[in-house]
Amino acid sequence: MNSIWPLAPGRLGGSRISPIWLVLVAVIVAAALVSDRFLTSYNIASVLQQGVITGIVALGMTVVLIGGQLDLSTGAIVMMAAVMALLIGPDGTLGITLAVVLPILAGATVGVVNGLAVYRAGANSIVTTIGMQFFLIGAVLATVSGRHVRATAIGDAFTALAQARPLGIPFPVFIFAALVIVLAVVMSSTVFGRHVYAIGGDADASRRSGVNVVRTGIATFAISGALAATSGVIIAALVGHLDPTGVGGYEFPALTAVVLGGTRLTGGVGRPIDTVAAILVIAIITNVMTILDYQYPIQLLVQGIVLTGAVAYYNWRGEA
Amino acid sequence: MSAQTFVRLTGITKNFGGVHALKGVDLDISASEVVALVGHNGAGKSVLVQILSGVFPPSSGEIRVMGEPVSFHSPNDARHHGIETIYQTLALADNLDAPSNFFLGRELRTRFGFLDKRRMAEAAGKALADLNPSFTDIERPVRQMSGGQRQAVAIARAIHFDVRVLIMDEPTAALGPHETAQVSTLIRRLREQGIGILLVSHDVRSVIDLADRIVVLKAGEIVGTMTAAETDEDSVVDMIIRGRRREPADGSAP
Repeated sequence: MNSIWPLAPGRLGGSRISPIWLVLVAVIVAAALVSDRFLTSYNIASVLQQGVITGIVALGMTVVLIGGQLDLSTGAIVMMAAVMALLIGPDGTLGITLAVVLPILAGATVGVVNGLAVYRAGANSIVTTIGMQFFLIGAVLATVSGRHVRATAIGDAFTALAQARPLGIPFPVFIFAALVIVLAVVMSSTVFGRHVYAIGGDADASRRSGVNVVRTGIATFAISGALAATSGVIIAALVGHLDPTGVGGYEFPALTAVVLGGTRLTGGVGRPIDTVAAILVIAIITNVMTILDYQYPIQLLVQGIVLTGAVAYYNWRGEA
Repeated sequence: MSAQTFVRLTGITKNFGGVHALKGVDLDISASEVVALVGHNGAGKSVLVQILSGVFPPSSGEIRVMGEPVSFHSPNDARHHGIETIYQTLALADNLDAPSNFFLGRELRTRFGFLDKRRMAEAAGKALADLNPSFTDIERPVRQMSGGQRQAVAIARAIHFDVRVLIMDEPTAALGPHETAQVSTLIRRLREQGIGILLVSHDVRSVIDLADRIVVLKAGEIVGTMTAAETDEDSVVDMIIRGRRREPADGSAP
């Protein structure tokens, strides 16, 4: 049967509900049992706030990985976009518009460069995007001379992008939800989405079938770059000033979520909506550990176990 | 023969760096004609197939379709001119289901621009049922299908869209006797419908009974063309090996 509702499990991502949703339910129950602070509305808002910044990055990486490639430059794109937004000076209608649009365009442009290297020149995507990461970090730190970045002025409307709480829910959660719905529809119900699955399944067969592999692949990296930059803009709006060296490392938590959500490491299988479940699982685990006073090293350790364990699990199931 | 010439290749060459894979190949394919292109591995068969199906352009030479010069920039260009190819590898995306593969690269859309999954599933289901009535449950990844079913998907999508010339690359190499017989029946049926067919194989036996004309390629050149009526398997094999026709007076023992 065809599913008309794009979020429903479809054949492309496997015909059944991903086990990550059961894990999510289990984690929520466990978290509520372990800590009576977990289910407070303030804490839930905090979990969501934490989750969406990594989550937006992970959505883009999901699209790239369904196409069969990895984008590890996303962490550096987050940093670049955050710094750009602050340097532009997000004040007044024009300033705020530029501070939102230019970093996202820059992120998309970085993605296009990644995509050209990988899909036109045939470069390995891991090495290409790690190289891009070094390049971007170097370029940003050189631009700001390694100093703390502070905007000359920040308008309230810009701050509101991250800090407004309509219905008590942080505004970035709405941005995230909108992006999830759009990407779910794009991947399940458009020609482009279908072609991304096809090139991730077999790029050569896709090319011979008339799929424009290069254009489709470049677009996946452009989406990933634009989404990572969106996270960067939200961070800028959240904190108002930042130490560039402190805004990094989003690519691995995001990758953990993508893999945990069941996107196949070799491409062709996966769903953005499953990445969302994985993002929530990771955000909740991190949140509970923070509540229970486990510090960052332990959280990192657990994240490592989750990433490696997820890959091992899906391999064992024959799905990774 | 007054059959219409669908495709005419003239002076086709292809160089990869300093390697001359094709050195000026002329080839016609007409309506209701089965042409077998045979030769050793490395003779240039697959290069010629890929040029004719739009995977890459020739270094020089001319392709005419229905008398008009054409140039193919992608497989879709060749398909727009009615040239369809069934590769030995089948060129299916294993993770996608049969309808998705069937319409890959030419998906149907709703008037809102989204994939028209229902219409594609119906059309693919009907086409596959025409080919193999017992072929059901087409909406699962083709990875889970048998070799014969996968071949059916590849064949069905090639002949569904107004095909004039069908290129079949090693059509029976991966099939059992029963499926091979089915493919032979299909080739005869398509020929009766007026389709021109190019059978490409290194194995003369698998194509000689089906072919009207046999073209032998060796080291990038056509070394001989024979009608099926005037030749036999031994003569063709001999030409593949020696690159020329066997002389009856040639006394050397085989």
